[in-house]
Amino acid sequence: MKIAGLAVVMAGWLLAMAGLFITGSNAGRAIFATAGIVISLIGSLGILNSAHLATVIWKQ
Amino acid sequence: MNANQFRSRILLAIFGIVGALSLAAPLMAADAAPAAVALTNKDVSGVTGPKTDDLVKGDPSGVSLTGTVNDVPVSDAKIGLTMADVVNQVGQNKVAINFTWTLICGFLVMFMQAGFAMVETGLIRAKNANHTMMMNFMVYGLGLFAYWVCGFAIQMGGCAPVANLGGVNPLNAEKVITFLGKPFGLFGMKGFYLAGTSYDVGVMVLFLFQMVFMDTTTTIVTGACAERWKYSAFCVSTIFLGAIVYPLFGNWAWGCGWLSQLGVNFGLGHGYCDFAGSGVVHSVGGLTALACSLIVGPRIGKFNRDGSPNTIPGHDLVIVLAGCFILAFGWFGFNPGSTLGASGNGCLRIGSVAVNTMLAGCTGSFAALLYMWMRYGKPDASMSANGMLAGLVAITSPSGFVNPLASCVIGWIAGVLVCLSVEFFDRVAKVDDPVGAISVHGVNGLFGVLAVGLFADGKSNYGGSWNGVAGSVTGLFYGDAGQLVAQLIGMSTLLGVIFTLSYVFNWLTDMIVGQRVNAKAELAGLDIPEMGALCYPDYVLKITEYGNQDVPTPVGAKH
Repeated sequence: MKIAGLAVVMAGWLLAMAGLFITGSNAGRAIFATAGIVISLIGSLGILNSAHLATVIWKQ
Repeated sequence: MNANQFRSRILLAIFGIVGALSLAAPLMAADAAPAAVALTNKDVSGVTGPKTDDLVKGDPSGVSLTGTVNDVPVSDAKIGLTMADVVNQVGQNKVAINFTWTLICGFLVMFMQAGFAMVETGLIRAKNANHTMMMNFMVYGLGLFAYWVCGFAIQMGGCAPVANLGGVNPLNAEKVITFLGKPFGLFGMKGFYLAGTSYDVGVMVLFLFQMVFMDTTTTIVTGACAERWKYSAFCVSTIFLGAIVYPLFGNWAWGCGWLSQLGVNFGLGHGYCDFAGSGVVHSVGGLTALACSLIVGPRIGKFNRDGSPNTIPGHDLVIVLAGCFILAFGWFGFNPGSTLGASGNGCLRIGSVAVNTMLAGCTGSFAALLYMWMRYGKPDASMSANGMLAGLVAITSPSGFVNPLASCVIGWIAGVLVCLSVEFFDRVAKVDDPVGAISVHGVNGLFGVLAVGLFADGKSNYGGSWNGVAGSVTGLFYGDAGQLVAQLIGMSTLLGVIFTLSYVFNWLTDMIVGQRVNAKAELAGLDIPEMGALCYPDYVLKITEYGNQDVPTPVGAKH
């Protein structure tokens, strides 16, 4: 789960970067970058954090 | 025509002439302005300074005897003063002003370490005070060492020229790769150990200023991981942050790396713009703090079995608020100092930068105070402090590009944002951050980066261009959507690359040496198990329901 979370975090950045090459319009690039940011946040605060919360000390 | 009509006409004529002269005055003045004339050696050779007889009498007024032609070095005594001597002295004076400004601002930023140490230590329990203070103390030594060895070279090794500091020309090697036809600067390659050609006066000034910025980043992490971080793991983590992670993003943003060139290579405004480091310093620190907090996990007693959070109050609000003021004071070095000079290339904007900094800190604390007062019925001291810091963090990046009104808005948003973020990490994400470092620096650092893309008013002019793109940095609200995209790419890089890099390294450290102290040590407090000495040996520490020694109480006082 942790590796999956990190992969999603990185995928967000790759999506934002891909937008630079896929489209030349500012609006298109802004959409790609924003989507990338959201995906990275899901990866870090969602998936990765859930993996840590599964074994967290107050649940033991 | 009678006498009255005659007088009226005379008056009218006079008014007409005066009016015409008034309108023509600017044109006449322009015509009358002396044409620029090139000075020659002849013009300066006759200039004489005060005589020795006058000098020995002293100069109480400082008007005419001190700082004269006598103080301009002459390259050839036989020839006397030449225009070349005068011009060289003018150039030397400009660089000297910039060196002095940058160094003094660097000293102010260095003093911020004391502020961070006080804020963080005040917000944790007394039983961990020595441990937290020592983490804040040693980030200076550990971070500086790592930065001197390789961090500075990675960050600034290809940043030349820096005109305000005389060029720093030895730092001229950037590793650049080409991907799909576009160049991407990745890291610098000159300046390791400050040896070789980087033994240069301008490089030394730049090193000092950049080093204290890096130090600020490393000290952010210690607050988020306080009260349960193994000291040895902290040392390893800090060295890695100062040697690799911070310098990498610093290069991309400030060292002529690929983010700064998004304007040149992709036509996105002026590329990623981060005037004083909301992204480079605060987001890097805040996101590393998030990575480390996830790995070390929450403190014992922070969350109940149902996941609801408990408030664990700090032990000394006095040093929290005093430390906060020290930080606000140091920020006047942080932001205005980022011009790297006070003379030439639009550096006189330092006044505007300083006022923007002041205003955002003010509105940040005010917004946080109001939010907490309205939501919980009391004005909260620690959140007011965090609100001020959040405002300062958020204005760090835009401070050089926005006007005072925008600064107030940015600070205000940051003050509310930090309160919402602290609640989010406490109640939703359940990430334990004893001092709110992730919210203050990570979240508001990202907001500061975004704010440049929105609020930059296109009025700044630092030498006519920024990041190699002519003109002034202009945000979406003033007509440049490309700048906003560049900022979004920067935010994505922080979240995607810097967070991942920090997480992976600290994860490996956790596997090898372990990041968290054992439960027994945590319950006892880390001062004795980790550091071998109590911070407050003359105080009896109160026992709480978690077995924690908590609030310091003077010996003999009733509990």
